[in-house]
Amino acid sequence: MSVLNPKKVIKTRLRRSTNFYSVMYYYIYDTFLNDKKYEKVIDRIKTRLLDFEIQGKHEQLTLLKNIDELIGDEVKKGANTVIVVGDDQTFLKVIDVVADNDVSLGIIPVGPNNRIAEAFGVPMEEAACEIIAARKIVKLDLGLANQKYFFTDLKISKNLDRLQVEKDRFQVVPKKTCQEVEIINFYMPDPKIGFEKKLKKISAQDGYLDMVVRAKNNNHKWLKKNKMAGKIDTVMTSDKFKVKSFEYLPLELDGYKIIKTPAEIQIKRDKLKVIAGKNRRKDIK
Amino acid sequence: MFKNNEDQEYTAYEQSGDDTMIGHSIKIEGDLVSSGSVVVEGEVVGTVKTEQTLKVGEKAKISADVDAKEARVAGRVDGNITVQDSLELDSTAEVNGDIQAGRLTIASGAVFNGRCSMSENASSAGSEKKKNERAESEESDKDTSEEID
Repeated sequence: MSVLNPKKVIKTRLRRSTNFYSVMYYYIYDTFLNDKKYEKVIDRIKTRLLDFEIQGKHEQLTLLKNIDELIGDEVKKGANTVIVVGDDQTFLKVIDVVADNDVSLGIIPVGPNNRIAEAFGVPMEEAACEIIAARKIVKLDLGLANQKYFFTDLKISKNLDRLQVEKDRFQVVPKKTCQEVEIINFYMPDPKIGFEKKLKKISAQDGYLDMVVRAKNNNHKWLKKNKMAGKIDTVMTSDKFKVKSFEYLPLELDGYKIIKTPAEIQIKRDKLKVIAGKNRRKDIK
Repeated sequence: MFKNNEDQEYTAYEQSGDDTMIGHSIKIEGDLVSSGSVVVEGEVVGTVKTEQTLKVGEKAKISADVDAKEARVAGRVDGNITVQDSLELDSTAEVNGDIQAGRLTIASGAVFNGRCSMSENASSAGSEKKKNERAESEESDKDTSEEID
């Protein structure tokens, strides 16, 4: 457990006291935190939030509660900062409603899958409260596909030979050797592959989406079982893409939302306001 | 360990490099216009226009007119090539079309079927330079003659 720095606390409290009536926090706890093993962690987080005097309304999600409706209602009541307590999935789940309501978003990472929080320089569990209290906000672009927002990427990996991607005045027709088409807003390196140099230019703050086409790895047939990502074959940048196909094809947004073709994909600049720490990834300014 | 590598990569984040990369697994149909540099390793049918450098890979096939600031061709191009600065044809290159370039390098083994003309800009720039030099020398001659008078 990290030690509380009194100077920082006073500084934060002073800052907070000036914004006391303007900042209203709404904390949402993901369903998996109902598990008993997280009880102590949640208690420590709540205590820490009290220390920093950044209390607000706390809501525990259940399978019966709709996260969009909950946040929508609280925003109407005046909440302007949503803090999700959970993992990457929790963060990605609230993207749509947060972007539509123009509120700030923070994350207190709990659990194993927290690569987004790590990218934003937010430490695990109660240590994240200090970052939340400091309230350093960064603005990021979001992708919009058929009125659904996505933060990381949009993937198409089935029936690619029936697909057509239009950009400006030309169209891209994938061949049989094509394994996957991704349209990326925020690059999250796959832990199995590691950082890919060819994608180092991708930024969620440049006003562009990047289309990445991966080709099948013919040299490593024995790796097929592991579903390794193919090698990067094509990289293209644009603020707008159109995806068409002869029949309905599924497009996967952020790894969990599914939409169907045809789809018009565009970038929405500075649509997401996220609370980030000092140790955030270098491409997040 | 992974995190450190990632940080190092982002520390070395640079704006320069190839903006558009077209690989073997896709085919482009239409007008490809880019303000950044373009690398073609696959197939393009239409036109290719870039304000920066164009690289055409060994296995690439372009059935299009090409317009670029600089270009290096190692694959096949069926169409006219217009390059403002330098154009290099590697030994594996095959060009079926006319070439217009400021500077041209053709490696031994390259196939080129078409007409070649050096860029009008470059030649006109050169002639203008000569004209200016002549005008300057004429003016100086006049001055000296006036002084003599």
